[in-house]
Amino acid sequence: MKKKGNYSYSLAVPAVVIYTGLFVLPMILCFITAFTNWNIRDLYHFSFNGLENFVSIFSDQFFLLAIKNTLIFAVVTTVFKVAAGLMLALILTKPFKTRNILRSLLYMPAVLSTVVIGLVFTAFFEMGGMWDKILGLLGYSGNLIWLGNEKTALWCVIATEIWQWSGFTMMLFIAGLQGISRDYLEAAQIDGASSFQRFWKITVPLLAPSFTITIITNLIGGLKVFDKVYVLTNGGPGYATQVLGTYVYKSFSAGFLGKSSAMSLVLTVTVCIITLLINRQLVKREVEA
Amino acid sequence: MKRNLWKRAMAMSAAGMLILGMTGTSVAAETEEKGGYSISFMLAQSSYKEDAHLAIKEKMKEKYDIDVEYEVIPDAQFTNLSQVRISTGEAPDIIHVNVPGAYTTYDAESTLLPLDDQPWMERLSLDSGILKADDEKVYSMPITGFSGVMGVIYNKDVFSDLGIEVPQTYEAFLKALETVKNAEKDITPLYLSFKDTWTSQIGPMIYFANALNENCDSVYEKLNKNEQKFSDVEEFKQALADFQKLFSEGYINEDFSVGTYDTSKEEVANGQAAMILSGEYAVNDILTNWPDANIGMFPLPYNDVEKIMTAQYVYGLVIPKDAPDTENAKDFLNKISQPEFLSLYLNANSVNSPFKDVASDNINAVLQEMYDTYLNTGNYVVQVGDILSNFGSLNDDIIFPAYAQLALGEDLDNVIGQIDNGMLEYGKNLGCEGF
Repeated sequence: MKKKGNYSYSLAVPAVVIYTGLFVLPMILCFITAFTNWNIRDLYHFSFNGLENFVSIFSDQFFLLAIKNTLIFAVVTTVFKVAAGLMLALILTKPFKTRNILRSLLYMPAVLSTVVIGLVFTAFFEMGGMWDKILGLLGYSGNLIWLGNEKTALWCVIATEIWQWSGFTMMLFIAGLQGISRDYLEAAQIDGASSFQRFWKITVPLLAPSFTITIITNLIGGLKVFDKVYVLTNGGPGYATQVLGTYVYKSFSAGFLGKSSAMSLVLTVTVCIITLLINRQLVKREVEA
Repeated sequence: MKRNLWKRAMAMSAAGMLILGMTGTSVAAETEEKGGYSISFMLAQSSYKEDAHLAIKEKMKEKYDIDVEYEVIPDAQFTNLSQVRISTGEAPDIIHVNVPGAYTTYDAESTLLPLDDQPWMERLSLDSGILKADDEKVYSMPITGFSGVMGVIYNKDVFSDLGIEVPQTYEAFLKALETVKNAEKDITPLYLSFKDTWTSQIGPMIYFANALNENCDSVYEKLNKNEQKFSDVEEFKQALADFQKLFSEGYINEDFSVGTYDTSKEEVANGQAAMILSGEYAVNDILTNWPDANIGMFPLPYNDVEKIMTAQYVYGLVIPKDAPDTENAKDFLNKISQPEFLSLYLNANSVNSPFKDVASDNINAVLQEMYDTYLNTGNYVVQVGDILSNFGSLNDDIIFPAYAQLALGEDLDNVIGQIDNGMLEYGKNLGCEGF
């Protein structure tokens, strides 16, 4: 019996070692260096400076703007990705001929390179680009610089994110929908429930686990966003689309390693708190089928 | 006896001369023949001239069996990436930099190899003082002489069609912008390209330098040592205010925040823009890529100062101390400084040569006029960027976004406050004198 127990644990050792080396140790180091004056000019010597880094970053108007932009990005993209993903999943679980092709096409943006998406959407949103032409068909004749305007740039990045990842969310919901027994829906239909009632009272509660996964993963992804902002606007124009990820990168690149560790710690704590709270609420709503 | 003595003396002299000659030959042969190695050469995208650099690479391979591998990095990432590579011990053999700004960026005394004892030092035609760091050592080999000129590049055909003369005063410059704007020919009066953030500094720097005029050096010195802040300098605020007015008056392309440096060159070359603000590098690029473009250059006469803005920097090559093979890197520097190699680079860039024995034969007429009229006659003002480059990536991180906000109508005091706070923070972090 003892040998069997040791054998089971030994199989987990490689994963634990990798997890410890690539995640746990860097986290601990980040926690330590967040309270130091570590900078690029002296990589191997730094000293404790208390809460100076945190005072500095929370006094920085652009760090606070980055937090605000990050929260807006995370919440808005999560809501729309989940809504769009659910809607597409409901449609693409109905039986019709091109269903599988459409599923593949809608999922495809999720596998594209962010750099490619950045190039494509930079052209899409440029003055006189495809977006202007689409709006022109609807009667719009303005000349906004979508990615160069402080008011619209962040929303363009949000729209790009929603376009890219709705298909992925759709797949998660399709898996969830396929796990719902048709008996419940048929029984409800026999009992005279309308389509909406069947959806709201049966499908949604039984999809709760899917909602949990999609909301949590999208929220985490939204709070940690970096690549989309970097390729489309690099935090500009000015600081209008600066998010926590790009701001940490900027600070790290400038050599303020202690300060950027402090920012990373703030980001980590924010992600943990928000996702733990929301996860707790969502798990309560899960229903056993 | 006397004849024997004479014969012996002659024989010994001849033998001595033969030995000396053989030694010299073997040293020359050793220098000539050293090769058969690889060199990693890191440079920013805007510094990479494909034809010239590839020609140098081919010739190095052919003559010395040296493999040159260029690492071309996008401008916005170059400073940060090269700093990280040096700090983490993954430095390339050679880095192409602006000197002396790079000395602070890379903490030359700690990370770069001193090059005072290299053979090319004796061939320099420029004052080696510009190449010295604070410890009076030379850490880079120059590959250009002083060539920086920044001002207004304009399309002569557009000016001629609209009856515009080259402005000598600021009022005339504004009138020229107004004429183009009202011409109803869909020509942009002044095309700016803030998507390539480094270009955002050119206008404010020209305005500031002209506003200070003769006082540039003294004010920059105080700013550099934290004896004065930008918010203390009235001329800076006035300069930024007047630059900001160009946007509110509608003289600038609406898509300036997403406009690129490449597009700006194309626009002025094709006459879709009347003017751009740029330097000698843009003139060379335009005349290379659009040989039929009819362009000229003039100093932006803000404050009615008719002086070209220049930069007290040269382009140079540095060797990190942690480079894979510093001896090969030093040998490579010596080789690339020779006329047969460096002239390829100089002629592609149309810049002055830093060496006495290397001629630059391809300076175009537009730049030659600027050099003859302004640079070589001392009729210039110096850019504030020269001291800002002492503060690491302050330009990329703080100054350029601040100028972008200025262009978008941000409050001037807020913009100047950001610059002052950034300078303080970066100065402290880098251990700059006075901070």
